[in-house]
Amino acid sequence: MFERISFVQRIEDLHAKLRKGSYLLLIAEDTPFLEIPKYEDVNVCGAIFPRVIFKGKTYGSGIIVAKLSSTSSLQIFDMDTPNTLQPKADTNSVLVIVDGFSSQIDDFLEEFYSFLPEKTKLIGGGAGKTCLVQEPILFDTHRFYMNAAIIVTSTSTIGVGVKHGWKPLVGPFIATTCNGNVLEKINFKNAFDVYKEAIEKDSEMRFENTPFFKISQRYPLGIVRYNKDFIVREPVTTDGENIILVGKLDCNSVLSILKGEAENLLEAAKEAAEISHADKKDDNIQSVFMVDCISRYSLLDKSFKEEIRAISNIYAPKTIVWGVISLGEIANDNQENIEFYNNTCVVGTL
Amino acid sequence: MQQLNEQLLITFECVSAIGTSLQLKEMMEHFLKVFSRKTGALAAVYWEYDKRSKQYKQLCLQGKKAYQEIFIAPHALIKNESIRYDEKSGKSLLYIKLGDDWIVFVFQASQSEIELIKAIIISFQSKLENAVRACKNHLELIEINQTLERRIEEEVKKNREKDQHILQQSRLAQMGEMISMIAHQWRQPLGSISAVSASIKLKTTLNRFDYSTPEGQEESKRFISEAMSKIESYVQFLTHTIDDFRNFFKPNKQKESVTLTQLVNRTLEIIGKALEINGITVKVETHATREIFTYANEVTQVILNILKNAEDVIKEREIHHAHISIIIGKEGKWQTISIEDNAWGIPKHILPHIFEPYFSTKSEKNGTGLGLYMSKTIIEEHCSGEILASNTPTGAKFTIKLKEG
Repeated sequence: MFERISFVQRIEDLHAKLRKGSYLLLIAEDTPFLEIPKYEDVNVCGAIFPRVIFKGKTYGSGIIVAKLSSTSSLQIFDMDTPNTLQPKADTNSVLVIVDGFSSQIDDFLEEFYSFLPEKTKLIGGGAGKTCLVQEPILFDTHRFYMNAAIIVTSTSTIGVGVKHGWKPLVGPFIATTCNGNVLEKINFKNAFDVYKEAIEKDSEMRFENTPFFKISQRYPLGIVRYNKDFIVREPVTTDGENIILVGKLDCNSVLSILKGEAENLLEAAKEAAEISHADKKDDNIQSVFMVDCISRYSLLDKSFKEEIRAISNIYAPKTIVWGVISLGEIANDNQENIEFYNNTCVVGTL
Repeated sequence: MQQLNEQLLITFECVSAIGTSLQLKEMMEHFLKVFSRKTGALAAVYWEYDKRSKQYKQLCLQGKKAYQEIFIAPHALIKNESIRYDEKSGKSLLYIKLGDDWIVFVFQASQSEIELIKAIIISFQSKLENAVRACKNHLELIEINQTLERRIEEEVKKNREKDQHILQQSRLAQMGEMISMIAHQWRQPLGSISAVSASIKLKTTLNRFDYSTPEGQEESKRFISEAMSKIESYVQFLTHTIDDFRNFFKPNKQKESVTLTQLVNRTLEIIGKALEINGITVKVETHATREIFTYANEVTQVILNILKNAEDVIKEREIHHAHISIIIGKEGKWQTISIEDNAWGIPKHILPHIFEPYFSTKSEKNGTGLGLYMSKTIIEEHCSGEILASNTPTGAKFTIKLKEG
């Protein structure tokens, strides 16, 4: 999918990396820049993420420059019109970056996914900034975009692994009233009351004196599936009654409140890498692309580098591990329907 | 135990996804999405049986369109709740029958795993079937309603056309009556003109004037002048009559302030002469003088119609000392015009039907059966008033009621 992956600290250093061809730029949110300079014969698309990962380290400031291979192409799409993309029949892999704060993510992914060839594998994540305000964070050399998605398609095969490591704390509950990404009632009671009661029973943390986000990143919600792992949904904020989630939730979904221990999360990342590695049919591994949630990053804190190490250890020593700390992760695991995950580690073997 | 628990939870969620819409496509799209997500189905399709073409058509597909070729239309050899392995794709298909329709899921899973998933959908298969039936009934009901609406529209259109036809007939009938009334009105002045011209002719033929003397010449001049004045006045009268009729026929959709007495007088100017010639005395009593705001020409038309009917029946029954009494009165917020004749009234069995269209007691040649029907329409629908008919000991009585103000 990508021919060369490199990293620069400043936008001014980009010229040294950009030669004729198409590039995907992943920019950490603290990187100062106003626009992407135009270069002749250079096609550029990119997005801003909370942090970027390159060679085992994460950066709050800096730019990953990924040059597309000749068998890959990239485009920016408006999320309102996913059906304008008709991938070629020989497309084996897709990398998708969506506006992480768009309310259209689920519908877009579902529609877009339906057009993909049968064996195509997909990986990606939600872009955005940690201020949790929707801004135009996708760009090309012409302008910035909101409610948009970058799609990189390639004939190269990839391996995909998805794991989260969260364990059920209490449940099951029924999401009796939902409206898009707003969870209004759990078991017919105010969602926040149920959530608060369950967490304050388990933890000494109190919502009165701790920011909601600090607690919720430790206690996400899990959507129950049959014979399969939970799909994690992260609560981001509350108005005292409802809980606002990253991603849509269907009414009457069966939920559990999850809890994560650092060792389980690290173990999950390792498992995701193992699955991804095993999923790559040929041995020609060029790099490893990881998409990890900002909440996992905040929760693991200093241990996060262990997560990267756990992933790196699965691959040959010189394999470049790169990626993003994202707002929501995207993958299709085992050819099922596509999912927009939260608090999950997605590993792509490219 | 864990598996049973999960099965129950998924069953609950899938059951909750049933019947979320009365639109079959919308409901099935939602259900297939939820069921596929929860059970890991790669794709799902809903085949709807079309009774007319006796073929299955794909109502909706959930999942990658690339799986489309795995789905072949259901046929007689496929059994309900069966699982079929597709060797070419390496996938398994689960078939569930819902009435005449089918749902087919594609799985990449072992037979035993799919059996457990099958158990989930079978547990609420009848509920799903009921929901599908409800959607189809709803659609059928909508179609019936649409057909009904279309039929109502057609009938309303037909009725409008009929009304137009009635109106046209009524106009033609009125024209006939008018011509007859004009004939009555003109007969006397034309007769007078004829008499005057005959006397001029006679006197000139018989040389009644001595033109040799100045007296004779003067007498001749005076005679001719008087005769011409008479002719002029008769011609004036004829012109006046024509104007009256023309104004009466002019489609005047403007309301105007007018007293009922004025309306009665306008009518009598048109029909009075005809009544007089037929020896019918008309007496008018006025007890209400306030102006009302109404469609004057149309009300005049109604009064005229009632008077004409009275005239016809009086002539038909050869009533001696025939008279018509017109009383303008007041009843609360209403002003009324009562028109009463002495022609022995309307037979009891006819009275309830006189305002119906095409109802006439006159011979075919004379009556269209539309006069009173149009009168009722004018008074009740246009002028928001009432028109009533009853019998008095000596004749028929028609009362027109119009609101004051």
